[in-house]
Amino acid sequence: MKKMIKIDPVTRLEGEAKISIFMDESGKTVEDVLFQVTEFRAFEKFCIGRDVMEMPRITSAICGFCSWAHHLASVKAVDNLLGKNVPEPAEKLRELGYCAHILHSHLAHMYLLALPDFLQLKEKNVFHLMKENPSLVRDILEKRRYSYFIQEMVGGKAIHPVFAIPGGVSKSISEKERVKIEEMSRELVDFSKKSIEVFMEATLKFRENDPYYHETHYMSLVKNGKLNFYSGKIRVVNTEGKKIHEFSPEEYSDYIGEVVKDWSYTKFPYLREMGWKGLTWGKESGIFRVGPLARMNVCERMETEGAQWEYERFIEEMGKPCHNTMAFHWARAIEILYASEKMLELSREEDIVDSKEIFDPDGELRGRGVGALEAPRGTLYHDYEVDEEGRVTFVNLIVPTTENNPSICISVKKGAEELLSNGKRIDRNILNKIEVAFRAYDPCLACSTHNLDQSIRVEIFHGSELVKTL
Amino acid sequence: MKKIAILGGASCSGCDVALFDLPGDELERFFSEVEVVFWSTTMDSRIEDFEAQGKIDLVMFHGGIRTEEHRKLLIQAREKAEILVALGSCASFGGIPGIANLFELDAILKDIYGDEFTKLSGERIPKPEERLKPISSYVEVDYYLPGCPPPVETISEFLDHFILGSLPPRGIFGKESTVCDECDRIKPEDISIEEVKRIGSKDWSEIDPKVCFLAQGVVCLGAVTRGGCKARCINANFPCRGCMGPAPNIRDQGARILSEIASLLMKESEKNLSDEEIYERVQKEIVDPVGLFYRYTLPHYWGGSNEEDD
Ligand code: SF4
Ligand code: SF4
Ligand code: SF4
Repeated sequence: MKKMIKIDPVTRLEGEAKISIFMDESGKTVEDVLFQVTEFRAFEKFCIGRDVMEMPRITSAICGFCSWAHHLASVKAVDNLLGKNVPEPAEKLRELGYCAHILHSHLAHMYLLALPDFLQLKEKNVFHLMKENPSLVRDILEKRRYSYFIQEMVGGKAIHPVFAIPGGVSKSISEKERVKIEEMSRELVDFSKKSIEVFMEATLKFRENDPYYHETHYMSLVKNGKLNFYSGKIRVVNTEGKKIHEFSPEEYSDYIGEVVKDWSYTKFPYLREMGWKGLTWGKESGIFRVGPLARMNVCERMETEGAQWEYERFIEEMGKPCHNTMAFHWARAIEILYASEKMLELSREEDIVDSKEIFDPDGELRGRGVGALEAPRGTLYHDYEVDEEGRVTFVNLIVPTTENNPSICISVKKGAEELLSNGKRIDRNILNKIEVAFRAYDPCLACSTHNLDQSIRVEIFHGSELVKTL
Repeated sequence: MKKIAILGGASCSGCDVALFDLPGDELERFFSEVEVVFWSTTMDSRIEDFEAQGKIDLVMFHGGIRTEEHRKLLIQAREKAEILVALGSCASFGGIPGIANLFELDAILKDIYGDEFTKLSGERIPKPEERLKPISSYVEVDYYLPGCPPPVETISEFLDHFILGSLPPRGIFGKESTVCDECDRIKPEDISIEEVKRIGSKDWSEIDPKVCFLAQGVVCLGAVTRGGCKARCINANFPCRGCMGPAPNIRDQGARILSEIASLLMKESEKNLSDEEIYERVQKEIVDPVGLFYRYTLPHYWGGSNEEDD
């Protein structure tokens, strides 16, 4: 009799999900791992017929954790579709707000969801941490609130912003707001530096023994070789760290293919050059990863000083490319420093205050537009087609969690193999450890379920028989 | 200690992340006075843990009901909850994902998954419901906190009242006003509009940020939308899209704004047009009236009521 293990739902993630682990007859070997998508909202369908100018305000609702990423990827797709030239100050305002958003999203993941895994806590959750170390949590929440305020000042609403409109932004900021942003950014730089130490330590514990290590290709946006969240070209490096592709967002479908597996609602993206070879990894496989670790592996350097120093230290310790899945956490921490420093830099720009140059009125509808950026969890693509009145006729979205989906499956499989082999008893503890593999990727379930919301959970099957749901 | 649980259906999770935007000391105070028994975003809580719970003092449910699983969860939530809250516009009215009600379920599945769907539709996947519905279609709701997501101040106020045991009578927890009441743009007495201006179009650069959007030909739902958000979009120079749901005393938010805009567009000679002709007239000006006027509330008015199915 084969065994199936189920974790339902996988917790401390953005949204809910389900993992199914298939064991062989003996119950000792892991045969397969399913990352399951179990619910749906169907954005790609119901966006058809909508006014393309309204898309940035509709698609942000794909995900409440990274609403800014969708809002901006969407507006970039529409800019592209209309051939708009977004004025410099508007670009700066978008990037400024977006850096605050990276902080808002990363800090939630790092401290509220992942940190409890790294501490010796009786109960691994933030409420317990609040009781044990209230001043730490208060400090975290307060600093994260800065990013909330900045997002609100720049974007109108912190979650589901409204300010990005095709051709620019609807508003600039006042001098008073600029000063506030500058002050908060300065504090966030210090806070980020402290944060790096915490997450570096956590990562280093796993350096020699990362149960979720695996070699893949990596994809990220870079601007002149440097990490950039908001704009640039898409670059792919292979398992050896060699640059193999560099392309504009519009060309993504020449490089990325997608397969649908019959057991999952999420699609499986792969690099066309290598092709889809199933859940295998290594140089010949088409599987690539995105997100903080990928960005460290793809970019050549950091634009800001502190982040560059931290980046060098990361490479020194972890090598480049770094294939340790647990290093996602350290990389994420370096990114909050970059985002804070970049925000500080942008907050000192004069032309973002009471600016008149924030909108390009020109532009003609062209049939198709693509926008891409680095969402907190990886490269995000919005691809729209419209009719002659600007009514949407086609939508394709590639979201980071979907791109990481094959790797997530592999990491969970590897983790499960180690943890469940030798007839170890399956208990909640073991399953929590499997979830740790998941959390490294910070999978965003709301996002990857823009068409089908998923609940991640883990199920252990013996063959087709479900033996355990935890 | 009072027990609370936070659960979701077809949600973007923005409503539950919004909770963490409350001031740190407020959160700390709140969480020191309640025991969180289920909140899978932040804790290792399994469905079984939830099922094992007896009465729960406060259950907040975000997201609408799209699958059988959501429905079952919601019904359990109602059984356990002393107070059940619809957190956000998706739970309250269906929200943006409710626009999917314009399409048949079969068409949605086929379009996205093609023929793969037959394989997918096995027992491993929760059965999608024909239409997305707000939670009030299935259970009695004690409080609604509208907004996408609800303003942080509203959430904070609600939680305070909950802790103090001073909640007002059941119903919508919010302001008895409209967004227009909170908007300080100049509102001319008499308005009529020649044509409707689109966001980001050529005409957009002529918009005066001090004057009412509607008066300038930009669709704004402020007049038909409940206040409480401090007109936050309008302050960012973007018109209201109605996320707080229908204003007090307005039955149909979308229909009301549609007829309002139609009447602003109509010349004297057109004033006795039939409903259909009016809709046609509006459609000439507006690319996607349904997606604009019913952005957050489609299931509330359409495919969202129990009677229709029973
Ligand atoms: S109401 Fe808005 S924020 Fe809340 S779940 Fe729905 S889309 Fe997300
Ligand atoms: S219609 Fe909009 S812009 Fe005009 S007063 Fe009302 S809320 Fe303000
Ligand atoms: S202005 Fe309108 S769309 Fe914006 S938050 Fe208020 S109610 Fe929602």
